[in-house]
Amino acid sequence: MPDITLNCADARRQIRAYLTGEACPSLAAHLSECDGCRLACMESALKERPAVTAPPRFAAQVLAQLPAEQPERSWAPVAGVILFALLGVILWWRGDGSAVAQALLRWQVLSAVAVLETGMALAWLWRVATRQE
Amino acid sequence: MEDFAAIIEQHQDMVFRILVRLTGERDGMEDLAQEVFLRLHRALPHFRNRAKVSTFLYRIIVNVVNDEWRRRQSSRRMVAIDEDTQVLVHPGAGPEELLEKHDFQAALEEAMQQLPLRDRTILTLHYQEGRKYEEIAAILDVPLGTVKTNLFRARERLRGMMGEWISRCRISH
Repeated sequence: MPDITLNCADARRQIRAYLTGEACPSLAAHLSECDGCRLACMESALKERPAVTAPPRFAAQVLAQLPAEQPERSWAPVAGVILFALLGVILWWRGDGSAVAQALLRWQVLSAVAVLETGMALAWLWRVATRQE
Repeated sequence: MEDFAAIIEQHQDMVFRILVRLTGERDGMEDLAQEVFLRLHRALPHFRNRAKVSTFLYRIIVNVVNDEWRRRQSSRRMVAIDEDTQVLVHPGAGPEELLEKHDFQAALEEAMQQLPLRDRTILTLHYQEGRKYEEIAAILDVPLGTVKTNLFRARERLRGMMGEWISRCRISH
């Protein structure tokens, strides 16, 4: 039987004060007997959020630990060069000496040189740009 | 990077208060909180629904606490009350001191640490964070029924422990 000196309605009104550390002897007596009020008190305590916040500059500390962002890499140019080279090999291998095949092969060789030169130029530019940073 | 800074600012207090509840500690939470956000950063490129960052964060927090528990267990700084319980040893007020102070809130935090980590997590997410059963089930990746059963069991166990604590308080006064 719940403590008769305090009814449940009065007990629940005192719960907040009790949780802040105020001495409420009659409430404690009631809680030891009354399951419902003890549950209500417990649930109120569980809903209390711990008074804790992140320290100042916490976000900056986390950001400082992140790895430096890498430029996005795309495999498309690499795949393009490989396909280009493959086409050249096939033309050379199966070339029947016709004018069309000869022209295609010549175009392939010239294009390959152009692609190579452009790639080297871009690589050099990238090196210069990153050195300046 | 600016986006991520905003995410940290928005969720950092929530991360700290859950870590405090789950570990029962207040000191040393900074390292764990940092680990939470570093894991989040690693996972973000594969994470499509930015609106649910908080749900994802809850899951990471639980994993980080679980890993910390394992780490401490391996270095024997941990005490297991039973096979299922995960308790972090920490320098808090002892039961006698709590009896003296008649501090219900602090006694509850102590009692929470006697529960298994999953039960502590469910209680924390349900009461402290106000998450619904369905959300908790999604966060912990368990069936809805498991969440309800565990919540009921944890609440009853906690109520029993707090009942004993109040009785001891009354005897001591």
